[in-house]
Amino acid sequence: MFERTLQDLIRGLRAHKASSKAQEDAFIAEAMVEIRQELKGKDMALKAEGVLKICYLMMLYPIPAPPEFAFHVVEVMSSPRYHLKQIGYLAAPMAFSGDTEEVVLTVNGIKKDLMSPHVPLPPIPLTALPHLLSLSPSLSTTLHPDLLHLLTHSSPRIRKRAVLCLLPCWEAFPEGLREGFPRLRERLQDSDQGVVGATVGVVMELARRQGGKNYLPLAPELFGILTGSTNNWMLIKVVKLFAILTPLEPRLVRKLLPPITSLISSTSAISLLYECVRTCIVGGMLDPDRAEGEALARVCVEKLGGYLRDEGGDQNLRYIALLAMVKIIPTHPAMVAEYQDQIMESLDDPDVSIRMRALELVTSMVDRENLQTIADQLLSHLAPPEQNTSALPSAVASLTAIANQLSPTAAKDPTITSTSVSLSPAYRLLLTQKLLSMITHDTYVNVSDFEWVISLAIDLAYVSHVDVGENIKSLVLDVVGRVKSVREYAVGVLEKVLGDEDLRARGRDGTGEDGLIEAAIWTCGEYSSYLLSPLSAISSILSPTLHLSSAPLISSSIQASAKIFGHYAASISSNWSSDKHDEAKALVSSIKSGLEPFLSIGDIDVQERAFAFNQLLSFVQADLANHVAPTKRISSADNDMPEIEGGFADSSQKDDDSSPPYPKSLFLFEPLFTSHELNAVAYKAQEAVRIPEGLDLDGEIILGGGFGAISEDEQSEEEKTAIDLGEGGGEGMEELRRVLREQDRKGKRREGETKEERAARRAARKAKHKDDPYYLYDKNDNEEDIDDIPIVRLDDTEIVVEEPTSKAKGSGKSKKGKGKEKEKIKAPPPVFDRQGELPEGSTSDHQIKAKEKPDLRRSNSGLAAIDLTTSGQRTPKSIAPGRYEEYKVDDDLPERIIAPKLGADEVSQQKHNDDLPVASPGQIEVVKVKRKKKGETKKKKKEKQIIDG
Amino acid sequence: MIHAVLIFNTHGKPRLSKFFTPLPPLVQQSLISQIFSLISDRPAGVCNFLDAPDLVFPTPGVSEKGKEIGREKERREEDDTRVIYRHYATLYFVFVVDGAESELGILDLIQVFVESLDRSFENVCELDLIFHFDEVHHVLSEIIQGGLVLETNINEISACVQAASRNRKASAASSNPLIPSALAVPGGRGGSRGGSADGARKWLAAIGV
Repeated sequence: MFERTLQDLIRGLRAHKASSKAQEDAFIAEAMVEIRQELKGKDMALKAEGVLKICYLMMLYPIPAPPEFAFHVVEVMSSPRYHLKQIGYLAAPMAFSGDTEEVVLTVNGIKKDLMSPHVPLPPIPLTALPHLLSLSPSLSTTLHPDLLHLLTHSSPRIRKRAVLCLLPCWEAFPEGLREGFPRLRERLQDSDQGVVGATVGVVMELARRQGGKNYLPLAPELFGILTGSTNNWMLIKVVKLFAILTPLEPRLVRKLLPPITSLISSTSAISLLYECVRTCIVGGMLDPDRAEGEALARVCVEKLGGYLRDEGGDQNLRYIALLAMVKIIPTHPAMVAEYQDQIMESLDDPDVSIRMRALELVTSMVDRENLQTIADQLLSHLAPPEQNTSALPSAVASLTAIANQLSPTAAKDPTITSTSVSLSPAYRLLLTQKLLSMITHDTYVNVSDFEWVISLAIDLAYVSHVDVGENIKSLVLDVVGRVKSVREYAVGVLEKVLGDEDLRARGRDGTGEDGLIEAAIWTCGEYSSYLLSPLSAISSILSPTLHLSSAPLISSSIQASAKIFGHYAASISSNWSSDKHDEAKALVSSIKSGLEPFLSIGDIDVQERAFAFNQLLSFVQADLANHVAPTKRISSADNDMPEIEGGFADSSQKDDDSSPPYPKSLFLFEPLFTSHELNAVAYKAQEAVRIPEGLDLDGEIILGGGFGAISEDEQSEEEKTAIDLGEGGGEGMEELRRVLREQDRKGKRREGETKEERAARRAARKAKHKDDPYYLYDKNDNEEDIDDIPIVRLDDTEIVVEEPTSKAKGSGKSKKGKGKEKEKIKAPPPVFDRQGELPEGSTSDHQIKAKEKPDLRRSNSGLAAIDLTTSGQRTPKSIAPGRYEEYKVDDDLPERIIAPKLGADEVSQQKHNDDLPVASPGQIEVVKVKRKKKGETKKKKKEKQIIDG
Repeated sequence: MIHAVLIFNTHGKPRLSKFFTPLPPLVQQSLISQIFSLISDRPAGVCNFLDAPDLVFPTPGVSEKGKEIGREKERREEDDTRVIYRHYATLYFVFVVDGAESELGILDLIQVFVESLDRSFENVCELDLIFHFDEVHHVLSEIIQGGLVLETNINEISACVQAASRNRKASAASSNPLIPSALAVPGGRGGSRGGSADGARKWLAAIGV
């Protein structure tokens, strides 16, 4: 029988590549049959070849592994021959999945291979081991001692592989870290650079997973590597590791600055230079509190800026420069701002990766001064090329421009590469979202012109072509709600939007324009007093194509047209004439006809609104019909609307003496919508509603499920006398206080009652309500005293929350430096309601305890639970993590490192020495936590004992 | 750490796929094709970093996909998975790494990997990788183990590779005559390379390696 080797298989596959898919599949199927035979056979070489072929096929094609493939792999792994064994271990990661029995089968074989005295053998299992260990926690537990043993193997090639295996091993078996950590630490001093490099890599990963706290004690060793090594890869790792450690121990910074600055100035490797700069930034070395911080920051930014400026040079450097600049922004925004031109240029880069980084950077460097420039430039990316020049800030201008050239704006001009890149939908979406978040950032802290925001939102809806309708809608609504001064402008431009049938047509395709239309409809409805032409607004809201839109859009359209009609009707009453009469009649009938299609529409909300509006309009229509223009007589309401007639009866009686010359039904609509002005509500408003004194939301309403005896709670009334009402806070607060005091008095008055009186009062009340089904009483004679429940009057008049506004002003001012006085005068910070409405009585700085979010990232890994600073055997009594007072001035570093070699009594002596105060306060070596050391020496003693015993 | 090392050609055919994060084979393949389509869209002369907002790379510990999407996303944010690649003639060398790795360092590491392959195959070309995919794995295993870098010194790497292949040879020679030709290392390779014309032969020499 002829066996197909891997080479033959590959040749076969290549020969069939050109032919049809079916033939190729047939060939693979045939090969699989052969391989299965080979796997089942006795010949180990053939079996290994079969395993290798499966691996190759599985890489290329989505084929499942043959049954019992893992068992065959185990067999090959246990072959005594080196080349076959290697194939077995190569295939193992692909063959095994999860903690299956196959893995368990391998344990003894792996142990044997690891411990083999034949030097070439252990690397084979070590290569595959990380994968297997991460699959099976039980394997980690079993092999942990062997791995620790291999750490001291005579061959550095085996030592470094064993070091790397420790990471997955401890991932699966966190307890091992406690035992293995000192051994790992020794490897940092290994004679072989490769082993040290591997160890640094492992420490780096451990520190990333656990937080650096456990690894601060390694600082001296790492510092030694940093100053002594010439291997760039290792230096990069150490420098990156220090970026994790320094935030935990600020004193490290002082120690690190000299070597890092010398690396920055001397190294020829850009990768190392870059990592040094990055560590300076991320590791908090640029802290302005430090004397050298400012100068270092200057150096870092200049290096990065140099990469960025390098025109036509290395794109990679531009990319990472942008990446690092994002990190430097929070501390030194001004320095980065010097490179704004280069950064903005990067936004036009043909490379999407660079654009995205630039976008992120730009988003974080926005402030009051440059927001408009940056936003306009971003918008010009979205806009078609022709738009670039005329971009903004006039929404009206761009609206007309777009209206003129309209339709498939995208992908018109492929010659401009940068624009064609910007048209990829994912990028457009990201760009638009960033743009919006830039504006809304921290409740519009950077915005100085809200009219511009409105026009930007409109432009975005027109040019973005991505589904951000919801975001645009909430932006527009939020702005018009918060900023009173912008409403007139907003209504002005949005009124034009309403008339744009084309936009509606695009919106129906679900590309996001609907959001703007909905916002426009609502705004024009709510602030209808600013409308230039209510009549045309109504007709464009109830456009003939409205029935094609989504149900929510239709229902808000109906609502808005009702509002506008209400406003219009009320306004024409002031100069009532027969012309107006006719106009009103025409309007009513046109609205009615506009509503017609929705009376029978499927959506229940739309239908209900349409019906309600329609019926009310019928009433107005009838009233108008009966009205004779200038006569003094009031038209009586229509007969077939008895309820409404009745409702109006009382109010009309008053006016009888001076009946107005217009039909009263004109005022039917307006009060429905204007009783309370809508304002932005603070998001904490609900939480800030004070729970009335004595109201216990957690307590049972009826104790014991309604059957237990309730003792009368006299104490609560006493407590009530001690309400601290405070002072100040405006009218609303005064009102609230008054109410509260009144109640307080009421409560006190009651106290004068004797028990008998009260009982009598209750009995009387109970008798009164006995047959009333709306009063529920227990069978027992116990009831809560209703008067004990305080009543807080909810006043719906608007509260002027003074504080937020002034605060907004204040923060706006503080943003500007002293030297920008001119600027301030030119663009005074707009007055707007940043905080939103809060209920009466709640102070604006009311602190709701922010619920601590559970720290997911650190708690989920088993490894993270291991805290080396608390040793297992001891109770952590004096340990407050993060207290580094325990660090001490220490000069005997070398001694410490060779400590493991010392005898037991020497160790104790050394320990004694450590406790002595060190006289010379020379250089502060951040060495290690004292308590930790004790634990370690204790362990060493223990080990010693074991060896002795 | 390094999550994956991939080599595929300009048509998206994988030539090497090594995932250091355990993932089901089908997920691996879909990731390869995703990454390929993203990379092959990029024009020449752009940077070697792939910023792909839509690429989902399941990070370690979350091997069951879709089980905890939310958490996975969160971890992804923090882990900052990124794709770093280099283009050599007909092949893309792609490393998927997390934030612990230096971007420029990985670019250097790719270079080290390619040079090591070159030393082991003598003017390596795509065909070498096709017919000796096990050998490529062996070379890689001397550079990266379990997602962590084992060695970056090219001399040391090729010494290890050579030692291992000597061992294989010795082991195979002592066994029965039915030696699978795949295991007959470097010497037997020359013949298989000779005939075929496709693949850029001197692609490494061309870029001055």
